Amino acid sequence: MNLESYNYEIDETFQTYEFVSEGPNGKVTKVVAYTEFGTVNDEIAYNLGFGDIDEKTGRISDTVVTDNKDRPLVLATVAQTIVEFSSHFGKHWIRVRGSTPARTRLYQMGVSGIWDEIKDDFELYGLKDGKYIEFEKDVNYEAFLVRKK
Amino acid sequence: MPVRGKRVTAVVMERNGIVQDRRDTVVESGRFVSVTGKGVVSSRIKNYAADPFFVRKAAEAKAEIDKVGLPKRKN
Repeated sequence: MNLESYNYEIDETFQTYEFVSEGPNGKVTKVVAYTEFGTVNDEIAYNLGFGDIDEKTGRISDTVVTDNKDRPLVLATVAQTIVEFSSHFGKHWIRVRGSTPARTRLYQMGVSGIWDEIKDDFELYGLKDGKYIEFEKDVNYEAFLVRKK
Repeated sequence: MPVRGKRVTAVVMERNGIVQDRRDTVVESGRFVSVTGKGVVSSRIKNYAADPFFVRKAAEAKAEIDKVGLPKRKN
């Protein structure tokens, strides 16, 4: 992807990605973690978890509103981690869902913005009316499943 | 193999075997430059995948997939 994004650091298992959001509200450490949630129909699936790390407690929160005016950079960085993770782990399903419908909508905006660039390399489905269907722009979904082709 | 602290030029984007863009990056862990050119492996980074916060999120994902199923793969 040729989008501007933050640099990030990766843990040695390639399951965790950290980067620092910088903006009017200072520096905030963000973490993306891929947690396997089992095998479904003989296929391994991971959940993409995303949140802020509280520097004092080390605890993670996905309800904090950072408001650092860098949303496109953050979304692009999360997308970069999907590319990174998939390159390392292969063609596993990755499920993405925001902590609130509004945040899922942000993911959708991010995905829509890069879809033309990644659709040759990834399969993408959206959850709508109780089932996952092929992603289309301008349709609202409750969650997403992405997999490298 | 990249060396810790060494500045290297990594491939940022490649399409159809042709390098589209390269960018300078610094190898901080000395072990690996990421495929995107944006990341470096660091022993400083904790693996949060098993953190209770993310395990709880993964359990929610499993409950969802168990209910609605996975889409059929494209061939």
